[in-house]
Amino acid sequence: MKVVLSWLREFVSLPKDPKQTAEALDALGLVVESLRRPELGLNDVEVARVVRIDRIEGADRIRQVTVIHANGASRQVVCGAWNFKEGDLVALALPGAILPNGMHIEARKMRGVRSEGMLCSAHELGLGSDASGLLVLEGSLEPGTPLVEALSLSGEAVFDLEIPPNRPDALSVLGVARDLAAWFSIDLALPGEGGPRLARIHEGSDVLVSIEDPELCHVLMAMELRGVLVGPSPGWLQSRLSLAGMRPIFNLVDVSNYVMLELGQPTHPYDLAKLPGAGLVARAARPGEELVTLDGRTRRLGVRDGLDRLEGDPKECVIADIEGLPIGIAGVMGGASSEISESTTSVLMEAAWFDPITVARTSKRLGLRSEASVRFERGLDPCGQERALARILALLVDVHAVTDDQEAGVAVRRTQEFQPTHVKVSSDRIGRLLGIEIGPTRIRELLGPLGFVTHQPEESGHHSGDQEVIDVAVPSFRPDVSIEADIAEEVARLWGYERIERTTRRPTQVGKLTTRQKQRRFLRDLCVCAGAYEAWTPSMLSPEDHRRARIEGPEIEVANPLVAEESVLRRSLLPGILRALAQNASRRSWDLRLFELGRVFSFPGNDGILPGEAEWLAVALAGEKDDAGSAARFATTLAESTYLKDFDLLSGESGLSSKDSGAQERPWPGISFEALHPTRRAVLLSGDRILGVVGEVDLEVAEAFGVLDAKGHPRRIGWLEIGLDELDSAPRREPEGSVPSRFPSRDVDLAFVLAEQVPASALGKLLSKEAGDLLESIQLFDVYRGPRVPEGTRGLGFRLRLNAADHTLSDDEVNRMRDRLCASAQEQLGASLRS
Amino acid sequence: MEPSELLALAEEALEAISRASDPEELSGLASRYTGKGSWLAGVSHSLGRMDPDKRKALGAVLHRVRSQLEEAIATKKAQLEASERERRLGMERMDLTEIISPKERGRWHLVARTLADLEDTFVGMGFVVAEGPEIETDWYNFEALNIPPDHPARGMFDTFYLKLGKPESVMMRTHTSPVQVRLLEQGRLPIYAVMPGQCYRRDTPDARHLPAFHQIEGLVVDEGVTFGDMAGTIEEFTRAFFGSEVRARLRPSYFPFTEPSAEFEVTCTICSGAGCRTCSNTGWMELGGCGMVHPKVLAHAGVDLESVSGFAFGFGIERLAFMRWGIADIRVLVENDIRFARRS
Repeated sequence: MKVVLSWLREFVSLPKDPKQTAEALDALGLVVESLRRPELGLNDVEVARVVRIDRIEGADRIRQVTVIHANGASRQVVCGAWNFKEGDLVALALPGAILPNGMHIEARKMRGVRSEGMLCSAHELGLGSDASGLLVLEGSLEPGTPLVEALSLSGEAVFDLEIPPNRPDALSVLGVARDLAAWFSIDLALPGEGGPRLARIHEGSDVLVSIEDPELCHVLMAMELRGVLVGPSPGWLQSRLSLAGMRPIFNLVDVSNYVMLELGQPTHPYDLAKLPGAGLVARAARPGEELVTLDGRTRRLGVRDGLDRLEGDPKECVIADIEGLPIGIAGVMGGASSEISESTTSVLMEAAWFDPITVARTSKRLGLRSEASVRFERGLDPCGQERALARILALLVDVHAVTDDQEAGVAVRRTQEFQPTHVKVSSDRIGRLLGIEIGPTRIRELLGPLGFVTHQPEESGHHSGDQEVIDVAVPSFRPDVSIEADIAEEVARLWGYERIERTTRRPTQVGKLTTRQKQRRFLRDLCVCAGAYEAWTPSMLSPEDHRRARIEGPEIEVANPLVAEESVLRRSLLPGILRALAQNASRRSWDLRLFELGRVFSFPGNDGILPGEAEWLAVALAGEKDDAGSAARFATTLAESTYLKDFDLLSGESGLSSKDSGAQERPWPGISFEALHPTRRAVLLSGDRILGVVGEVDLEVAEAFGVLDAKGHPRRIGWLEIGLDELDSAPRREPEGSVPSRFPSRDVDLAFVLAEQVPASALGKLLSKEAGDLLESIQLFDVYRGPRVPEGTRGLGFRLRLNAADHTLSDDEVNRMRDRLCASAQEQLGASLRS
Repeated sequence: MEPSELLALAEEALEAISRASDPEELSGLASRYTGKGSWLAGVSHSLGRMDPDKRKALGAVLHRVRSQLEEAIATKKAQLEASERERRLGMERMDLTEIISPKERGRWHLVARTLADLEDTFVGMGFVVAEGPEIETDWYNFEALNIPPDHPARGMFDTFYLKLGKPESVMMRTHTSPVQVRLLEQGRLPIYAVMPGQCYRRDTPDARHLPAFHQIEGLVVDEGVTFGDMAGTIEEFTRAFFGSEVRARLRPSYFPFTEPSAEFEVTCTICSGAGCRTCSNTGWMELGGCGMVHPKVLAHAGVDLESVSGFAFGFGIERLAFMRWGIADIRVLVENDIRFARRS
């Protein structure tokens, strides 16, 4: 909210330097987002009187204007605005001026006509949003007067404040001033209050107000004004509104807005001539009821998303005329049918207290937020309506919109009398919560200026334990305060957050990371060592992404997605990473490796309410020579470095499905097995537990996502996907304590011919098993495919290093072992030795 | 045999040795002149048959000649070896700056790196790291945090809802605070924990906002915890994480789940507090929010309000990354552009 310093000064006398006020506001929690000094940039801007307006030959947008300014000097300026006439007072920027928007003013020629300066709009002067024409000044000003002086802008400042949602009272100059008065320990003066005009408001007029739904509206008042002279507001009022960020319209509306900004109470004027009678009714909207609002749009009320109202749906509140037709949406926006115009002569001014939640809901549903709705939503002062109407009346007299003998009939309806909330607080507890030494007297001193009425129950004064107890009556404008902690915050605010001594407190526990948290770090390092970069892809995808990745099954839909591309929860990391690869390819980065650690979702989860969330590691190897083999090597490295026990790859086309048909159910729905190259994929196993998959993304899938190489062909992408839950629970190899043999080892090299259908790992495992205790290590050192082996087979060279713990192996022993290995390989896997 | 003959022979041999050009030739010369079958060996052999005087004179010369030759051979050998080594080193020369397409090293994501640094800092302060689901029920995300339905504070969060259960009953968490509720529910006090994680708000992406972002929150619940403890803990963290010259300050704010509430700011990391564009000339940068845990939040979890109190604090990771590295547009964090990653 923009708060004007001179306005605040009407309530409190503040330090000369606005920075001191800004610091106080910050400390009070009314944070200053910006502090603007409107006089800056208005050097060399003067008041000037227009004396002549001439056409310029051949120009139909600009005119030649002659003005007089300082000491009666005349000056010729070219101007493109049309909203002024001879005799008007305008703002003249002289050559050399630098306006608040940074514009440098220089003398120059336009259409052959010399222009010695510029006539300015309010917008150009930083004094408002109106850029449609010149700022035409009101009143009797001497030409040549500096504009800063003419508009009393010297020392002026505008604070843009961030008002926290719990402080509806601070959405007003009064509320901000009250906090400042308390902070600086100075008096708060209420302008315009207690004046004689207040007495003119009386009940029992012939204005009718009624409230049909008491829960929606607690207070409804209407003030009738007749013989109103509608016209522009005086300069000071326009200037205040402009500085506060509101556009002046004409006096009646301006005064209503002024009072809203000043006191926080929105009011709404209705053109009485357009109503069937002087009366207002607050009632629940009838389902399907329609109303054209001030912005010219037809609004359907009492319904949700175009549906008929559902049973039990909350009500919406409208203001109706005495015949029952809606003329406004309570607290949100008025209706067009009774809009004030310049020909209005009689007015009904509404001031009310509407249920904040109802206003909030309606304004949210209609997408209509206004200065008024924001204030109603947060909770108005239920006792502030009458004061607002009195202030409006006083101001209308000031601006000559009504005569000072105006009879203002006011009708009042209240469905709930305001009862202040009482909070019993203990100064001891407040002191302990804040960590300060504070007694009841100091608390009362701090709270008083904020409007809290405090007293210590005398009868309990005898009991030592109760001396700290204070009864606090919460003022009507602070609906946010209801418990001791709220009072503690008020005390802390005025004590000064920065004055509370900082203490340290150390837990007795030892801080540490969980196994999973350490595991993640390890996996990240492992991937980084493989040259992979960590990606962060969206948790929300489009159903099309899943389809392209061949992930079937029901989607978990987002009810209100921002964009269709992110409308369902991801069930795999694959689509996101492929999208990232495609994006990089489009930027000519074709060779790269990416990984991601992230959650994938499935429904139903464990509790039947929330989706299941599982954390996965996915690695995409899309470097120049990458393929399924790179992924398998990486998988092996990962298994080795995480000490996985009985790690294995179950390769072959049947892979997952053969496991599926077994006892183990697929532990996750979103795994990317189907997206992988059918003859280049395998399931990662630890014993008989599935940990994930490894392989190569099917080229058709890569193409569907647009993952291409430099030549524009689909890119081969090695893929590894592993579930962290599965990885965590997989058994680990323990370190072996036995001392390696002291005796020399012997190597046995065996070159087998093995059918393609049989995995190399099967042969390796068989050989290891056969070698038993004598095996020191085994290594697949050569794979041969070609004419020297029969079709449908390949040559596999294994090297086994043998050793015995207690003696040197004899030739005989080694030969016997070799024969045994060959025999078993032949017998169990049909592997023969290559000749 | 006269000594002069020996000396002449020595001269001839020295000449030959000095001319030797490779180790083989040298070892041939060595055996020719000083080896077993050499003339010198023959002379040496014949010494025994000579009369003592002659033997003595000749023996002395013989000894001198032999050591002269042996020394010359050793010196020459060393020379030849040195030049051979020189030659070999020349041939093995490598330019270690000729690196064709070095292997990529990969990187952690900046957010993950920042989170790990934060976790380490808090672990050092004795905290544990807790986690919770990214999809939450209305209870955990709002109600238990003192944000009942239609509470105005719901307007602070633009929420993504899922089409599960009743409308607007299941959502993508808008903050990490539900983890606080889950921790409190477990009922194991005291609590000193931080809760990092991904959160979601329905914000159109721009330079400062992403619909998915990361937060870290802290929760301390123990006997007699004060606002002063909170301010001190935040200050301690700030110094440990940003450096001992960085200060933190608090000012009043509002959060439904804390009371009293505060916003905390730290010395601007760009200008070190001198005032710059990034901090709007204030010298301070807003980092996050904090406050004493609202009694209703504690009460929901069944905590005894008479003896136990607590504080919570939280802030966004992307903003921190922005503050630390001056990332002007945080959308770069989700674009996964390898060119950015390589530089990060």
